[in-house]
Amino acid sequence: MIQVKNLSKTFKVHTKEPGFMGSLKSLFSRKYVTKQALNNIDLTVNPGEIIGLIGSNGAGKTTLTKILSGIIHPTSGEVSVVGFDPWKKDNRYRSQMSLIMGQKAQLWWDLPAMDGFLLLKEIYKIPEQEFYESVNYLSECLMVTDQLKIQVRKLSLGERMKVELIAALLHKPKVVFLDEPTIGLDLLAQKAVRKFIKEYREKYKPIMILTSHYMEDIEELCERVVIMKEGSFIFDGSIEKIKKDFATNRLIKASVSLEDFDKAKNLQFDKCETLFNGGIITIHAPKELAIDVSKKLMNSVKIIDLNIQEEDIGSIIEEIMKKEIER
Amino acid sequence: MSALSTFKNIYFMELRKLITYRADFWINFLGQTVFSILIAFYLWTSIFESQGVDTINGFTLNKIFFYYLIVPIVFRLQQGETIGAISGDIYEGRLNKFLLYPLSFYLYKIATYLAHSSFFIFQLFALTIIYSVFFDTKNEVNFTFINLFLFVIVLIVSSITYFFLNSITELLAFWADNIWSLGVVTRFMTSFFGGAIIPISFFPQWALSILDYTPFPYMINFPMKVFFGEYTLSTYFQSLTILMMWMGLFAVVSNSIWTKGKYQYTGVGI
Repeated sequence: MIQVKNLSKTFKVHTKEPGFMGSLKSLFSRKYVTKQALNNIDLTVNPGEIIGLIGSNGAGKTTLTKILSGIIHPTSGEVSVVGFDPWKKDNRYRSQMSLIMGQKAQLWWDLPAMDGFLLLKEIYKIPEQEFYESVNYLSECLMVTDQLKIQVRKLSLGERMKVELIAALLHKPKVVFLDEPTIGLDLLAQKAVRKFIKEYREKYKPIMILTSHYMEDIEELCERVVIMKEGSFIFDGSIEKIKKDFATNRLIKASVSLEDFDKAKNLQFDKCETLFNGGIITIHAPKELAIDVSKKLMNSVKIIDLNIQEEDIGSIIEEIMKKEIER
Repeated sequence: MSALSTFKNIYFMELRKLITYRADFWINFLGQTVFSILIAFYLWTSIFESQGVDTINGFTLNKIFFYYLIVPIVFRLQQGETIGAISGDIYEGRLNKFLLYPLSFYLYKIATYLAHSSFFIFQLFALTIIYSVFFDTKNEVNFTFINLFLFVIVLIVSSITYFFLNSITELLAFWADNIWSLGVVTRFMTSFFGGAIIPISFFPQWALSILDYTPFPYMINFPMKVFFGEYTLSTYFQSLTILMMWMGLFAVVSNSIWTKGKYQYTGVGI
């Protein structure tokens, strides 16, 4: 279980005027600004739960992950992860926790991944048989068995991320922090990583905190979402709750016959956002107007196909974040 | 036992990493050796000729060649990794792994440091053998098993001492944006006052008296004296004890900076 109470983190960073004069000035006097990365947050994550942390850049997601994993010290507040204070770096805690950072490699670049795994076997004291079983299972799931003997720096980004995942999960951690695990990966690699995380979670049931800018990651893997803005939580709840509370629009997609397409372009729909692409018209309509808008469309032009659906979770979350930024 | 096994694994992994770069190893070896021999030859031949003597401050021409062949390797061996091995981890966020893994930061760093150091042992012994084959070294060095053993012990202790001294400046990277110059100054002071540039027997007496209160002569001059067999067991153990006391002092200071510095660490980015 993860319990966070009144957690705050501030960073003091120095600023410098641009150019040579700015550098010269900073030799004699420096100006500092204080950045509030986390602002009095509370969080509880239950055993086996996976939560998605979302927010724009600088919202505090990575800072929270770093505090929970013990990399950085909080300015104030209490943190307990599976009964340990992460900052104390108790080896009993570090042995059952893992952090995977999509943007920061932890494996040794100059050596093949397998050499790194062998060192991790020693560090985590993984029994021989269990180690090879894990390596085989994880590398087969991620389809990188043939890449384990190649220098890490010579692997593709996707392969590197996969071997990083294996390295982080060899010791079967009970708490896993995933900080943008699919960043920069192509669609196939993203899918493979997501599928793997899903399977791993079903098999070992760890607590997982996933940070990602890709909504597919969140939607596919998380039951609960925490949206962050400027170091605070602006939403904490299930994906269903987001849909219920914030899905105010319906998405109407219609294929219009070619001869009527120009006519369709001239149609006006109040309170709606309309887009035209090829022979498709897409309307974001408030949910209470969706039926009327569809009727008006069908009565005005010849429709070949019509589809009304809920907006995808990504657009809803985007909307929530936009509204918060405008506030 | 378990820490020792982890140490051994880290040490050998680092060695494997170093061996990966074969070209760098040979260029470094040949480049440094040729460079050292040329400087020693032209500089000291002309000094001895102009003075018209056979011995200067206890050094014959043959011995000074040998000294300048060996001392750069002893110096590099003692200095293990390059400047930035720890500060780079802090600046680029590689320190994360030492904070995440159930592993002591110092255990890992000393193991990798000694791997870098021992990488030069091959060069040291290769050069000693080559030199001994082509030149008469009977008067300069008395190669015995006990000499060799005591020499290796001093090299290990002086390497760990330099590791802790260097780590003090490197760990200041928790606060400072660039510690490169500080690292260069530390390296220069150790090499100059330790006798890597000029043997310290060439220094005036008053300077030697002051240097006795610093760790520098114990870090380079002492191993060199052991290499040439210029010691008695009592002076050996006395100097080794002093060196170990410096090592302990640097370790305590380094550890207290590490403990405080971790609070400043941001893991790169906010």
